[in-house]
Amino acid sequence: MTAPGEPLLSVDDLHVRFRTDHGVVKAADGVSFAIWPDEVVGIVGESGSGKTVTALSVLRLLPATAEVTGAVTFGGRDLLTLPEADLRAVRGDRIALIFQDALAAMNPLHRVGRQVAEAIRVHHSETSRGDAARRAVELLGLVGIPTPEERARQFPQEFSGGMRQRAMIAMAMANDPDVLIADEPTTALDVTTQAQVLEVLKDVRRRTHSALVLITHDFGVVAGVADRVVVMYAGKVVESGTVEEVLLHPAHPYTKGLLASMPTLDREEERLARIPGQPPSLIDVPSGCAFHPRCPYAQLPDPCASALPELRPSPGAAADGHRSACHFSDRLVESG
Amino acid sequence: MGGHSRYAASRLALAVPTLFGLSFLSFLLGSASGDPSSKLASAGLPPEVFPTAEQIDAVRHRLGFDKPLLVQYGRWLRKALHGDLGRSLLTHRGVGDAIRAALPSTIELALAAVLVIVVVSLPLAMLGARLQGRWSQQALRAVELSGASVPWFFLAYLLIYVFAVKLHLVPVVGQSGLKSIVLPALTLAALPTALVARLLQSSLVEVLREDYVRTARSKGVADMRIYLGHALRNAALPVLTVLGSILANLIEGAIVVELIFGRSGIGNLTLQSAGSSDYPMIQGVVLLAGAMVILVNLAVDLLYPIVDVRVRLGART
Amino acid sequence: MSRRRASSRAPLRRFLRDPAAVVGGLLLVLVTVPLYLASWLAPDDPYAVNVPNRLAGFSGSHPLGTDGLGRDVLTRILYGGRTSVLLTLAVTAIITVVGGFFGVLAGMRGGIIDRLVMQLVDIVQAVPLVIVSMVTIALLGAGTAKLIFVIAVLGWTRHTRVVRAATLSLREREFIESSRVLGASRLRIAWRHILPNIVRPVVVLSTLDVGRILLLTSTLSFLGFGARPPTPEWGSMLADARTYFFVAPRLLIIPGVAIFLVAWSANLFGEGMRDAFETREI
Repeated sequence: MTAPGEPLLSVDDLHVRFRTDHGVVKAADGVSFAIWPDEVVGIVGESGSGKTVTALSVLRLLPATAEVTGAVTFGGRDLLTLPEADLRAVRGDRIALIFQDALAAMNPLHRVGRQVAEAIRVHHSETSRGDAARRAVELLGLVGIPTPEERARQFPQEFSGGMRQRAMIAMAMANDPDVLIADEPTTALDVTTQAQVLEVLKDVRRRTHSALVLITHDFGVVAGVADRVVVMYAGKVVESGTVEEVLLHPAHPYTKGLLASMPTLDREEERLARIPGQPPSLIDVPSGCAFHPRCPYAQLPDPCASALPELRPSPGAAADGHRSACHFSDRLVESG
Repeated sequence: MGGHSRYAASRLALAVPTLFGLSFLSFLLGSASGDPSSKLASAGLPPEVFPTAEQIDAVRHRLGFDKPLLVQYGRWLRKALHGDLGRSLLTHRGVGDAIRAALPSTIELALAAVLVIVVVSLPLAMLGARLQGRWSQQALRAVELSGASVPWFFLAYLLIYVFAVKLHLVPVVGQSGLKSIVLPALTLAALPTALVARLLQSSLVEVLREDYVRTARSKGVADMRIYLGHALRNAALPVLTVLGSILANLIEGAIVVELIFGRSGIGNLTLQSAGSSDYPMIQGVVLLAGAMVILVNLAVDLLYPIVDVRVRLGART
Repeated sequence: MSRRRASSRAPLRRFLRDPAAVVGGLLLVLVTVPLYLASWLAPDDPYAVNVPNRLAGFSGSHPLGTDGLGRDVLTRILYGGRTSVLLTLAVTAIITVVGGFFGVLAGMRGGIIDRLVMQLVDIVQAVPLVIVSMVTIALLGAGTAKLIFVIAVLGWTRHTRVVRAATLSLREREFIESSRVLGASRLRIAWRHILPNIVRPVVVLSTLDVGRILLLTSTLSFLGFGARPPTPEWGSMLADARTYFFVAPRLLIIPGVAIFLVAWSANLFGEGMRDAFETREI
């Protein structure tokens, strides 16, 4: 059980490696963060930053070719070493995942209602089919799907993108989990639907008081919903802190770049500033700070290309508050 | 469900001309066996007496063999649709009765082979998929290739040698009892089992990589349930598409295997009727065997949209 | 220019990298060549009956022994192989041509001709090949020519389906369109454009057919509907050997293994080609 004041879920020094024909891919390279009860944490980064891999490794859902080391502590136990049967009790019941591509994530040959009911019946085997089906319809209604009885009898292809995403949320919240992990829940949707889905997520949280981990590349999504933010780049955490801290006083050049490229209504520029360059290869990670090839503030070769910056508290922040991994974070914060 | 009935109706509609074409071919084959009028005319006469030309003509006229082919076909078809396939020239029994008597044995063999296929290929495929089968894929391909290269009769004798002669597990030949169907069923099932196992395994491996399997795992579903509930049904689809031809081959194969093992059944009937130019029987047997193939294919076609919902939903996806 | 040449060599390289395919090819050559050189290689006359020496075991003068009538088994295997293989090749050739013709016809013309051809395909495919072969040969008498005829008449449907599919997909491609715009006649298009591109799937299918048809012809011969005795043929040799199952099982095993080797190498080779060409519709 989680002691009061202790984090609900804590990821410690997580390394995920894949052996490929071209070399070892370091998808996650020493990732650490914590989730407290009833909070919303956004994990932000470009594709390839390791956010999805981190989320999947929490429930050990990576393919067998992945080598995972580190610890993922939940309820006093390390999920990475838990026996399969115990892990299955956690999956879908205490920690639930909401996947990105809802069309691919649902079985095209099973009706939606059945797939939601499955989440219930796996963990409450004494529930009859009828009761589970009724509860599934209830859940579909709770996430805002109209005429849920009819919809439950339909197949995933018959749903629109937004409805599918809501159905996935319904599946995840079925057993009132302590932690909901949503992997890019809004990426494939248009702006209006994005807003609706986010509302549903907020609503679900209000009911169930679960912690929500929101994985996205879009700071705009994070800004409206999250309490804290974790920024990832090339498999490492480069900044973390409360939303205000990170958004208003970014202490890492990558975060600054991401914020600058975010479209907002009150900006007048014709072009969005983009971070120059491409995300790095995870096999040949740049030496020192992985961001240095694209960083406008980089000082080469020392220290940026030679020394790995540690995640340390920002100037003026508490020890467990705003942290960033940049050799020059103090200068960044000054310049605002 | 309206879409499904329309699909079903269209499949049925396509099967009908095929059936007609087949019936015409069957009829032709029978007629090609020659004009039996002289034989029939001499049937009622004592052995040394030969029928006169007028008697032969009379028989011919009575039976309608002097009419144009198409008319004869029409008559035959009409009677066939009423269930009357005529009488065997050899045994004078009704063709329909003879077929009905011989059919169960053939169907039995085919079903036994199906049982073997299902019982063997399913676990083999699941095991192989579990082992993330790269080498088990190769192994199954090798078995399938070998199976496709071994003639039935050779395999039959091999099996007979090993199981009947050396191990004394089953009788060498014979009809009766469960044991006598084992070797023929194994012989018949050998190749299709390897084929289905390989197909199912490679399909399973792909399905297990799909996102929805990962979703099921994330909900805490146990492995066995994932196989049974999610993976198998989705993985069976590619197998279903070839199921029709597998079953058709099975029916034909059953006939050959029957002959090899000396079992009675449609095969024997065919042999007899072909050897004695028993034209009504020939027509009946060819029609029956062909109709079975057509019906089996039709059944598979109708089954497919039930299993694969996406076909049902069609354009809406 | 160079890119096109490179792409036509890539299948060869892929093929050579697949050990099974190479083995299959080599084996095929190894196994079939002696059959053509039968008259030179055979130590004896396949028809020479020598009853006193029947069922002899392996020896110098009869490397594979003698059969029930005292004939040299090795000789009969070689000549029988020639019969079986030639039979098979003849059928395969006819099927390829006939099936290909119908396939291109259906694919190019489309419309009602396509539907007619496919309806014909459905009917012919439903006809039980083995039964009809037995019946036809029973009616017309046994003999290799008749066997070829029957199987060819009923066995072309797979080729038609494959060729039609290939033709249809080719038809949509731009170079066909541009030819048509330039005024090329349908025949010309078929000949100069479609045919060369169909070669690959057709070659694969025909190679794979060899195994299948060899098995079919030997099965029918085994059942008594093929080559007439005393013409040596592997299937009928196996049938003759049944009587001596307990006494001289090698008389059964040798022709069986021979059939297996040829079919197996053809299948290996064909599969290797299929993988090398990466055509999956077969």
